[in-house]
Amino acid sequence: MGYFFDTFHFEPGSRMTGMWQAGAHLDVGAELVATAGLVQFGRDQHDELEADFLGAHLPFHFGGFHGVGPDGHPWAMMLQIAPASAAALVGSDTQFWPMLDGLDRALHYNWEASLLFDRGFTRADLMVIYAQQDVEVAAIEDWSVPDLMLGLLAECCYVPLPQIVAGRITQCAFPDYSHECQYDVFNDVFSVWMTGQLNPEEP
Amino acid sequence: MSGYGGAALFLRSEVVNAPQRVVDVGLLTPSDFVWFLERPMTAGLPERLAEFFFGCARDLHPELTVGAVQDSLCGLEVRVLSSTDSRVELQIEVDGDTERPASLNFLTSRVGLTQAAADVRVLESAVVQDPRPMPLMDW
Repeated sequence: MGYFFDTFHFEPGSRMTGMWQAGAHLDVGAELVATAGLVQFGRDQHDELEADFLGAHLPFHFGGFHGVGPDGHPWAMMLQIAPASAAALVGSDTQFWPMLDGLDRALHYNWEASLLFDRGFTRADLMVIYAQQDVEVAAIEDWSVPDLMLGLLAECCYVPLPQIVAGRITQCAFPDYSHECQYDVFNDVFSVWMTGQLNPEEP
Repeated sequence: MSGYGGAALFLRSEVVNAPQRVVDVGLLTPSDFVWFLERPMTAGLPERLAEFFFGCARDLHPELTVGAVQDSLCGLEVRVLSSTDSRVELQIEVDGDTERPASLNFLTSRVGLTQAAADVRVLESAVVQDPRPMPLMDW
């Protein structure tokens, strides 16, 4: 299914309804760390609207995806990337603290929303995730943390990581498939997913 | 009520001198958050706001068919500026008693407006603050 779907305990029947990139300007030369936080919204709240609202209040907002659970509760996966040095600036021992604290503060604006699970990633953690999906480490040696996180986001569109990594070289995610190529593997996946042509495997 | 881009309108009510209800109005953007506290509220305002929000969610062109809601007592005015099939642009104005901007334009979704139409009725259920002093805890 995908790393995020498999790791964050999504209930069977959860449905992804949209995804987004926040277009963060990050210094990829610096050491970066990332977090992913699964947030559940109120039953009658609008997943797309609340995810956009929440993301606008995150200082290290990077992107994410949202959807609806089988019980009707909307949810969103909020992705953040920050310099590892940001934690030291505020005297925190945990390099993920600035992002986790930012999400905690943003959640105060929506009293119906709650954080279900979160997890932090270093670049080494992300490399391990790719390796577990049969990706050669040498193929992603030059990938930055934003690239690696975009790859995991693209994987949520039901495209296997090895296909995404191979597509990064050719800048096309679907070389054997007629589509309007974006000449960027991530945007290629996202644009084809938006047309509704990518679906999960049948159980 | 949440909006795209991190904007939101907060409303909460209470009774200060029965039977006078008051409403606190909060305008939030990612760069600013301002509250207008304890504005006297005209009876029926929650109902009119609920009809307004539901009309915005329901009508094809609410900017043409849904009239603004004004409450001169609390100084709140809400109107529709534009709309698409899925989104509606609102303008919120509050008679300012501070130097901060008292106007907020934001896009929200029709789904969000439907929920706001239901939520805003809660303003009618404001309860009187208990005027009794807190009991001493002298155990």
